[in-house]
Amino acid sequence: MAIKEAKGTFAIIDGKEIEFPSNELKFDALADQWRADRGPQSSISRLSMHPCYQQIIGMGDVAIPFILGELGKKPDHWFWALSSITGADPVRPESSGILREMAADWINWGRANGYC
Amino acid sequence: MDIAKSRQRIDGWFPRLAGFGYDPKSEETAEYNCIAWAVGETHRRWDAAPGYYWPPGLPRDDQIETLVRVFKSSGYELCDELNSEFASLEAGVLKIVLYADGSEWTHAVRQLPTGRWTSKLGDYEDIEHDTLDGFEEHYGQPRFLMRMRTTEQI
Repeated sequence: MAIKEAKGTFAIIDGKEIEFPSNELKFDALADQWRADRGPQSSISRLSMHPCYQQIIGMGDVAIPFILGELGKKPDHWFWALSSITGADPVRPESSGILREMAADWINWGRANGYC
Repeated sequence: MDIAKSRQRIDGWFPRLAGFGYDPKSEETAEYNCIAWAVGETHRRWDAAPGYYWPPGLPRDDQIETLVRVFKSSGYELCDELNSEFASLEAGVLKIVLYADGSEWTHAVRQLPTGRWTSKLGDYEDIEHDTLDGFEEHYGQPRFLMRMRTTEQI
């Protein structure tokens, strides 16, 4: 049986298996597809069930610097992924629901834990 | 605000909505969602997921019954029925309608003093719409009507 020799890292996007030369490029492609497909959903759990978002969670620790980088550029719904990967919830009660404050709390957590 | 771009996007999501009548009313923003908008807030997002605002003491889940409790905690009471008569405009009464897909909430809308309804569409814009119909592609069906007597208008 032939075993495919993986030189990079793979993701399934829009039903197609794609090889990426780096985890950063894989993350970017998954994030772009998730944004493009999000539609008018309000529920964060529904947004988070998107296959691309789930693959980002599946990347584990390696995705954390990329997610924190995205939050630094523009706050978005990355908090479910961060909590799922890390088991942490550093959002202060006074920040709850305020995206830019939630992002700042997570970036501070990332700095404190050596991710950025 | 690019009305044509908004309409193109919204008509793509909800092909039947234009037939019932709607108008985009804001720029797109992720700062608040339909639940926050229904209770009259625009500075934070209400959601059961970790880190988002959710009323203290309520289960952090997406069950439609939990969302009813969320609005009860804001002073609304659940109506026995959801029909056009119950959903009509009444002086001094705020009304909201909750949508569900199966057992999970999907959307919330609020009645305006004009009798039209106002909705925040996910991370996108607010719209005003003439009826509760036309959202089934993404939001399922209107499930519960809730009301609150008030002297204020939000």
